[in-house]
Amino acid sequence: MSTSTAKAPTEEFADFVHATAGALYRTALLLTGDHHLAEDLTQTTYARVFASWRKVSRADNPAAYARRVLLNGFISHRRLRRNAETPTQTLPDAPGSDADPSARIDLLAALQRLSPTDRAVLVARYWEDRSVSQTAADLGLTETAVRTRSKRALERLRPLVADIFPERTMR
Amino acid sequence: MNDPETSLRTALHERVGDQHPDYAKLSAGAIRGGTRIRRRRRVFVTAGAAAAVGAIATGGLGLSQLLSTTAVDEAPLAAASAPTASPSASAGALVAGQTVNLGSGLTGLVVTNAEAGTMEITIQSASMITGPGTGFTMIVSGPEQAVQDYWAAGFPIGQDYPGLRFATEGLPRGLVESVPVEVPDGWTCEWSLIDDHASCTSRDGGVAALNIRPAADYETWSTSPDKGGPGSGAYVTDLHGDIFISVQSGRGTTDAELEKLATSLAWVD
Repeated sequence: MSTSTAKAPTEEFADFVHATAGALYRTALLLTGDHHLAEDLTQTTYARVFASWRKVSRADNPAAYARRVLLNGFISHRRLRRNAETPTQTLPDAPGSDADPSARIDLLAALQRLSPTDRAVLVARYWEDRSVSQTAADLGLTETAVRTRSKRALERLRPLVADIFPERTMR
Repeated sequence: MNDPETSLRTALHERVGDQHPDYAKLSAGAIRGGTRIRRRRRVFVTAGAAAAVGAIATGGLGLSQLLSTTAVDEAPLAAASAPTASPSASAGALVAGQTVNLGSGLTGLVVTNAEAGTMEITIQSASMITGPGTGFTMIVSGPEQAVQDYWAAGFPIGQDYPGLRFATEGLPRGLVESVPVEVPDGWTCEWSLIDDHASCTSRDGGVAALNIRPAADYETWSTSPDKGGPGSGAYVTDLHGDIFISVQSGRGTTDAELEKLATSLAWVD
């Protein structure tokens, strides 16, 4: 048994990953809706954190820094992809109040029907329990925009969520 | 009490609360990826510094102009006017064949860059500054963790020997050393073996991802509907030695196309 308490940077970083990766990965899963993409997003986030680990490890809240890197990474990646996407006149499977109630869809799939930024707002507000002002700071939005997007996204999600959790939302 | 916000909060936690990543893979992949980012930054910074000092030396830039310079990675290299840095007082001249004690059980074998080109090593860092290290490569070896830490610290001895390249041997480089499968006709894959990953594109523009995974993860991946099990929308190959491959679709790939890709992968050995 070693009596030394000093840890090597990589060991310290591995401890940090083990302590925080569960929550960060679940956030990534809600944002991307896919395990592979969530793994990629989480790993990319931690790679960026490791690249600045000496500075990040001395910060007050390294986990908060990692969460912000992940959110911004997700938004900017989606922005790049959106530029390469081809617009279409009709949206596939547009959610609406007249949706077939028998067409039950998974919550992850329902979230994917929202815009990336709306999804990020919902995840920050209701998964991470961030306040409006914290969410605004995390995503670089105004507080008004966070409230508006949150309300709009929730309204779009409700019919879909109702299919999955009728006892909670269809009263 | 059962307002939509509370319902959503509860539903989100119920949906993903029991999901866990592969911690060891995440950590190892992040360290590899983060180290690459550091190396790129260092090359950009040293390249920018060489260009800036060279420009000052030739009277091309004033200090105020230098301070207003942004994006060092966009600065053009002034190789002809790059400075010749001097080693610190404690640093002697490097000689091919010498072994330097780097501490923590690490040694650095000095070879010429020409010799390095004939060896089975991985170049991890290359400085563009001309100095007493120019023309030499140091192969760092020793306990793996110590090598990783020395690597993560940016090969500190390089401060005494600007221009010196660093190489390693024996570090983990992914689960396999070469591309493990051939893909069927109509698909093209870009492999990043160090990340155990390939991005594939079909002739008609569909996208798919292949991930090489350790055999220890096979049971979970082949049975869990949240990973690659039935109903997941992803596929896994059979075990092949110590590895298997998960196949996941991207934009423009149908489930049938993905299944065909997954079942058509042919192991190379």
